[in-house]
Amino acid sequence: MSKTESLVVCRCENLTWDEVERAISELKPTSLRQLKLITRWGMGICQGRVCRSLMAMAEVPDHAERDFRLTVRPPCKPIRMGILKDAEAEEVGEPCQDA
Amino acid sequence: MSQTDVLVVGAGPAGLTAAQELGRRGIRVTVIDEYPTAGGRLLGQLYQAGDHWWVGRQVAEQLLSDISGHPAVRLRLGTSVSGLERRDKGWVVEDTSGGEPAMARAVLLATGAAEIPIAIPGWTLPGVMTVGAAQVMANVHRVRPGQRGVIVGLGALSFAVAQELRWAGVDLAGIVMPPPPRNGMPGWTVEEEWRKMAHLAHLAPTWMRPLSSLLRRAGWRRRLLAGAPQAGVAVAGTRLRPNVAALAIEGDAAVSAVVLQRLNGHGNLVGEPWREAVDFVCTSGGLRPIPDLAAAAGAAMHYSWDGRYDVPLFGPCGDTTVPGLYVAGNILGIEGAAVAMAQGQLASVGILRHLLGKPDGFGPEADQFALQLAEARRHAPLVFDPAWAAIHEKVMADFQRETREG
Ligand SMILES: Cc1cc2nc3c(=O)[nH]c(=O)nc-3n(C[C@H](O)[C@H](O)[C@H](O)COP(=O)(O)OP(=O)(O)OC[C@H]3O[C@@H](n4cnc5c(N)ncnc54)[C@H](O)[C@@H]3O)c2cc1C
Ligand code: FES
Repeated sequence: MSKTESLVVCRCENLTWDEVERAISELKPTSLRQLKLITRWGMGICQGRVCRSLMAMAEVPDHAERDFRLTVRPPCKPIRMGILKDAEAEEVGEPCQDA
Repeated sequence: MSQTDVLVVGAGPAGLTAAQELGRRGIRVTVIDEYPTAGGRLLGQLYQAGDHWWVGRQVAEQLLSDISGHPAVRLRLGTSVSGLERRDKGWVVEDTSGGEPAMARAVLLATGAAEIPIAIPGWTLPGVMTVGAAQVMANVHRVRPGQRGVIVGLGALSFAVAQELRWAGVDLAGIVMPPPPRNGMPGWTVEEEWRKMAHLAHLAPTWMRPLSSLLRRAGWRRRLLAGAPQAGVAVAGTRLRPNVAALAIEGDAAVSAVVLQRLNGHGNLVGEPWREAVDFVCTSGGLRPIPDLAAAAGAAMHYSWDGRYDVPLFGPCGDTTVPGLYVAGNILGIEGAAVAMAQGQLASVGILRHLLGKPDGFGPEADQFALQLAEARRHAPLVFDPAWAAIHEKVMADFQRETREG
């Protein structure tokens, strides 16, 4: 149970530090955002509300520029799919921008 | 679309105080909070400040009763705000209810703070919680989090919550340190954890206080903390064990034990690990502001490498770099509830100026509230993190520069 190897760093995605290290060494992400997209770290149901600070502290080696912080985009809270659907119908929702 | 003058996000001390100030002047205010009860973090606060007791729930009840005298103020509980969009010199505020979004001429973000997790093996077991969760269980719901627990980490809430658990009759094995981080794993070093001791020392028993100047010096700090007895020193109704780290939490279906090991003066693990039986564990990794809505609304931000100090740039009356968007309370940095209330008052002035188109109006009020803020800071029973003072200075200077240029 208490194997250090199975340290969970994202509860929603059940992602372990082991898997993160493997992703870093095999796929060599150059930013936290890339690491996030590879591992789904912070992309679970709580949308990083729990694990975000852990992720921010993780060291991603070899990042060219220091500006790798995670951006915040609406919706800032989990919402029902139906709301998104309605918003699209009314075209009030802004299109998702890339960070 | 429902229409209001001011939409306040967060019914904590900052948001409620601002709503009260605005409502007093007949401004239409809607306060939205995702929690079913208004009061924010006040609901769980219980401590002795000097010779009187701070009972947060009573402070919240007083605020709510003041507000109930102002029919212009409405409370909407149990709904989260998910986004803001600027439109026609006002704001469209989206929430999770699925109903019509609200329109407001000004928005106050008073979303407070979140706890920073400490990840140690086993932290996903039932029975592991943050100190804030234990505070809510004990003080709000009057439920014991367990029979015997341990607090991991020296966040500012460690002592306060240890004391509250003691009052609730819960046994603690003490306050121990998180394990030293290994190869890039997210976490703080033991040295960083120990450094927090220096500014928490005023909460320690009187005989220990003279040590606080020694704790500020790295060499002494190491010697003193590493030399503490393994059973710890008596603090806040429990035992502080600065040279003991929690390596892992164990249990099958729920927490049954914590694995501990001794730390030397360099913050390295020494000797053999041992187990102590506990049925719950509180992690205390400290607090960080929740600035998400401000960032998403386009307010200029101050960012920090680990996200702990991410805050919107703000002016003296809670103004942000976006017109009509205001901020107050722990979204600006971690301080006590009295400070949040003074910030709420100041933001109400900023909002009044905006609504009435009088950028220099309400000078006497602004001065008076600024004095009250300074006063609240001077009498703060707890300095959460001394880093905030310098960050606030920088952030407010950046705000001045940004708005002058913009
Ligand atoms: C766990 C914890 C324990 C604390 N204990 C103490 C203590 O013992 N003593 C002390 O002095 N200080 C304590 N603090 C610090 C505390 O934050 C301040 O004392 C004070 O409560 C801050 O006031 P606030 O109004 O800024 O935020 P809060 O009191 O945190 O209120 C913010 C409110 O905003 C709501 N909210 C946030 N985002 C949204 C959204 N998107 N939509 C809808 N609602 C939202 C929340 O539900 C919450 O009710 C604690 C903080 C935390 C996090
Ligand atoms: S804990 Fe990582 S997304 Fe929820």
